[in-house]
Amino acid sequence: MLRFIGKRLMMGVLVLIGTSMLIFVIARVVPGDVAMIALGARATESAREALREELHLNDPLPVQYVIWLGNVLQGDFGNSFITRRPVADDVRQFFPATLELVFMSGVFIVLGAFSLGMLAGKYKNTWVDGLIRVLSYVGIAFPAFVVGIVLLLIFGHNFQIMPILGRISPGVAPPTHITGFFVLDGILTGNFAAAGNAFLHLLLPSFALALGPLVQSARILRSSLVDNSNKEYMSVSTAAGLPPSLLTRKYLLKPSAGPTITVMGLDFSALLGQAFLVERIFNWPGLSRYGINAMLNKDLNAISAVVLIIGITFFLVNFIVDIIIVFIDPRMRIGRESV
Amino acid sequence: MEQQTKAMLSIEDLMIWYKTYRGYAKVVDGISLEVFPGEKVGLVGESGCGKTTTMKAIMQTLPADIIHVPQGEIWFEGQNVLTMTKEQLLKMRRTGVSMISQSPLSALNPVFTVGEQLMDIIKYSGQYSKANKKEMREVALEAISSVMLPDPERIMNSHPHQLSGGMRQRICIAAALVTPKHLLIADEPCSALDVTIQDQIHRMLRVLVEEKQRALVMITHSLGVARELVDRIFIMYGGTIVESCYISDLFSNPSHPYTVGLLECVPRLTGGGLSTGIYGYVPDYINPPKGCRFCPRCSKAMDICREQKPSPVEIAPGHHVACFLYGDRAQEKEAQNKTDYKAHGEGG
Repeated sequence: MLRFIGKRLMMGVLVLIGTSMLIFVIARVVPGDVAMIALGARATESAREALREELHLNDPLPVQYVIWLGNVLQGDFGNSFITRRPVADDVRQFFPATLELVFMSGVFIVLGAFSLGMLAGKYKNTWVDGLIRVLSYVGIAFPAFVVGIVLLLIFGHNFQIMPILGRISPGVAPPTHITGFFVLDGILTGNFAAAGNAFLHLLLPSFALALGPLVQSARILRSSLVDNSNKEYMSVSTAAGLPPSLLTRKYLLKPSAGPTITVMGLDFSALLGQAFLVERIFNWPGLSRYGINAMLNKDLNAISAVVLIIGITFFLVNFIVDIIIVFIDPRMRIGRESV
Repeated sequence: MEQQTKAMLSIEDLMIWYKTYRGYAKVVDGISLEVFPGEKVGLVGESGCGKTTTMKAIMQTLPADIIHVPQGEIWFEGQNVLTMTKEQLLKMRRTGVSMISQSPLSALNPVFTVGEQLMDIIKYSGQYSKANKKEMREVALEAISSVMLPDPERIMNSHPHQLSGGMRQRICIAAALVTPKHLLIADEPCSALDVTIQDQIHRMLRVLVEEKQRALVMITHSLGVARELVDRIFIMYGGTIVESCYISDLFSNPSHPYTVGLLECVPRLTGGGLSTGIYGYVPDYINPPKGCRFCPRCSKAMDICREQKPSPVEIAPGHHVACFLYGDRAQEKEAQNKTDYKAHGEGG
């Protein structure tokens, strides 16, 4: 088990090095003069040249990469041209917002997928299954931003029971910064009013983001459950007189959960990228929105930092999922340990 | 009819149909059989003749959504299995009947250790106090050693994929025997085992039945196994029971043409080259032959065989044959169909 974890971590480091090279090169070969964008058209040529020198833009790419990587390893992502602050500070401010959003979506995905999937599997080929199937098609077909707008119209505009913009209402002071998660910080500091307010703000955007992956995972779980319920071992366990609830909860669910959890892991990390449109609609001050702004403005340091952080998160989430899968399904242990 | 009150298991005119896209597959077509306490009964027939389906119907583990039972009753210890409540069914599975599956590679859950699966069976059998984990573990270890597996402790902690096919098959046998049940249904329990282990398992089953007044239904397609182990035998063909008799009668006086063919298929040490065997395959269950299901493959088929289903006739005490060659009707019809019968005889 330890060897497996070690190997996975080493592979992860290799993947991240590859990612960093790729994003470094792509960010720099995109057309457009960085110095022009950063300083504006009215800056003198000598000022621009000075900036290029400062950013090592005149050096060969490999040299630039090594300098950049050295700084990154010390936590220095350079300055942003847009916000004119260290990128690390920007990330520290915006990343928790996105992470909070994605994390809440993850909660929706896990709870929703398992309950809907198990319902559909239990009542397969009945109207319950049919209803969940239709819901799934709708959820998969509609992009998150459409779902977000529909939710805003219904709950924010028609019924006016949910806040529509931002992480917290303008009249409420954000809780003291500990983790950057408003809900968590509110609870930790005993500021329950702020925590509750932030939680209400969180519900709509995270649900909009979660719906697609949620119904997709539910469908996968449903088909695994139906497949496995026809396996001989289920018939044998039934014949042995085990109670029906134990059969479903334990003997059927555990061998069926693997594919669903794998897909959830992929979805969960993909949410970081997809969060942009939802953050845009709900005016959520998150990292995705920051990242898109950086890309549109060729903000080199910010782009590299955002992509690298998404890459690291992607790797970590899938690493955790792999470990969960190996714990659930012993058949994976042999195969994966030799990877 | 008097027998029914005494029989531990009695199946009466049972039909089981599978729903398919082409229509109903009439896999079990009116089967009747009884098993008495202390008796070892064999159920023999080709693959796909409905043996396993019939036995799974007793356990009620057939997939309910694709199964249709148009007629028939299954009585176990005085209760009709088909109308049992969930609680009665659970009780029957826990203390009444256990079944050894024929497919050892898929009969164990792949994500739990052998020990965990055995312990659950023991725990929910209701025969041990749930608090006494140590006692239950002893019972599980004993069951594993009883099927001649070495190092039970290690096997308890193994996952099924870490064991060989033969070991898994023996675990399945252990799981079926781990708590005492009245009736044991063994569905080709030794298909993956070598002859020495097979012999020991058979011996164990025999002791179990004879000493504790249990009953055994042994599904097999080996007449040799049947001869060695069972008292009475039912020969199945295409979802019907074509012949049933005491095992000694089967070899001295095989009567149904299918039984005769089966016996001819067994290679003999005394020579004679390959046997004549039986031509053809098991019938299509969606559009089965209208009359006797064996008639397309039968060298003695008469006109009536294509039109009507033969019902069982008792040709000797306890020896029933479902064939128009026997009984009163046969004699009437035989004269009338003589020419036809001769033509077939020469052809074969």
